[in-house]
Amino acid sequence: MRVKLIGCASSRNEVEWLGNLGETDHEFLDYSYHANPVKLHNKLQELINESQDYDLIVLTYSRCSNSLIGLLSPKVPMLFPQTHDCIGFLLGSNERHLRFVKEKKGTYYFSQGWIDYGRTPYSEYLEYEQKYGTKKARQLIENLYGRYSKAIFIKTPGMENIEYYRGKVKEIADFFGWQLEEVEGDVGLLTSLTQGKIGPDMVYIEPGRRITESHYNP
Amino acid sequence: MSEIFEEIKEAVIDGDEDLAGELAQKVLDENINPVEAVQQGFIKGIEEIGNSWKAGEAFLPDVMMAADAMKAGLAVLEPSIAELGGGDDDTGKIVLGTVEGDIHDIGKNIVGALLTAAGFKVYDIGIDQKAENFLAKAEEVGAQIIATSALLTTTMNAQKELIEYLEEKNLRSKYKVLVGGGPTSQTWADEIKADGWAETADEAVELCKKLIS
Ligand code: B12
Repeated sequence: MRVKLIGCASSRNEVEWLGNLGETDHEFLDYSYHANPVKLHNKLQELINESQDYDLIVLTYSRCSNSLIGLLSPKVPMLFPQTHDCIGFLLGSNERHLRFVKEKKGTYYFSQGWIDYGRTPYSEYLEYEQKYGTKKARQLIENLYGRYSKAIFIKTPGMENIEYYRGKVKEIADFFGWQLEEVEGDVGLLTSLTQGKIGPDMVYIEPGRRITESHYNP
Repeated sequence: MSEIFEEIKEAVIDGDEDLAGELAQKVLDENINPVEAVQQGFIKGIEEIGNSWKAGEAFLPDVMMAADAMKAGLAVLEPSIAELGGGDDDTGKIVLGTVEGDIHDIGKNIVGALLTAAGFKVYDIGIDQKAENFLAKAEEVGAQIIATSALLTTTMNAQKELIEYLEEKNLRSKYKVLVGGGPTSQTWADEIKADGWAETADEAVELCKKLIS
């Protein structure tokens, strides 16, 4: 079976660590799509169109502000997580994610991928400081992150240099005066997905059918 | 006169808070109609930057700084706009906030600012707010509209919970409930039986005018 995996940088390390069936082609999109659901939607549709000679298309994108809604693969089935975003995806299930949402208020999450490929709040501050000066930068960062009280580091299996990532998250938490917590990620969902296996919190969609809101509300 | 409106618009686009405040003061000093200054200056500026952001041409800090500049100007003009509005009674009162579990507020703040500019009295209760708090504020101030913002698919359900909460208290018909924010849609609003949804802040203003008239 020839699989095309179109993935988000937020879980790239985990996907690469898990390996795959051998016949999977990976394509990871730039992290900056995070900030623009419409652009992400269009890019995904473009890549799906280009991948019509595979047997299966796997997306590691979650719902992500409904970016996936409306996507259509004419000839190839698609498989993707039913989770809300990369946080739910790395926590392994909607059930666990929603429990976290309820229990842990004011939390900003970090995964290895966010740190490697994304822009952390601290590097964002440094960027704004360069661009707009210290006063404006502080004001912007305060408006963006001023209401958080906690950073949660999602540790996933396969991380090689955990201390480096712990240090990074600690640096950010200290800069903002946030509490720091570490939780175990769960790559069960990701594992099934990369193996093309259908399971809970996953959507398998026949060729020629559009992704709709109802796929997320079974 | 249109020159100062153009200057205001540019100040907002540039995110220049100080200048926006100074120009607003100049509007008052020179007896220029503050409502026109808002509509042809401040709102034009925020609309332009909002469109550039949507098109992927502007960055979020640009939007945020523009919103701050607009806010600074509106703060100066607000009292005289309220006076022109002719007392409190005929302007609508709106309780606005971001739902529980959600900390996003950039869009909500813009909605609040434009509603204020349009002459509504906006009670912004902030972020991460429970249904109880929306209702308590609405009861306290005698609002007609409750408007909630949700930016996460994990938290948008709280918009539905608010409506259920109002039903439970037998107060649903007393308020118009508006919903908005990135993942929401007209379909969602219909599904949860909200009274309205708007995609952008300027549409939110039109909607509120319609709902209250
Ligand atoms: C800026 C931003 C942040 C900032 C928020 C700062 C702040 N003070 O608001 C920061 C960096 C802190 C942040 C944090 C998080 N974010 Co965020 N964030 C965004 C981003 C990039 C832009 C949102 C924004 O401000 N847009 C600009 C404003 C002007 O637009 P708007 O909010 O849509 O508002 C307009 C309309 O919707 C409407 N409107 C808004 N409210 C209302 C209300 C009413 C009543 C009406 C009528 C209209 C209306 O009018 C506004 C003006 O036209 C979006 C992606 C995106 N492009 O949407 C992700 C996004 C919303 N975030 C996301 C995520 C995952 C998170 C985090 C969970 C990440 C983490 N690592 O922990 C946390 C959440 C924390 C929490 N509990 O809330 C995801 C959501 C996925 C999901 N589950 O739905 C998104 C979609 C990014 C993505 N593609 O993954 N985020």
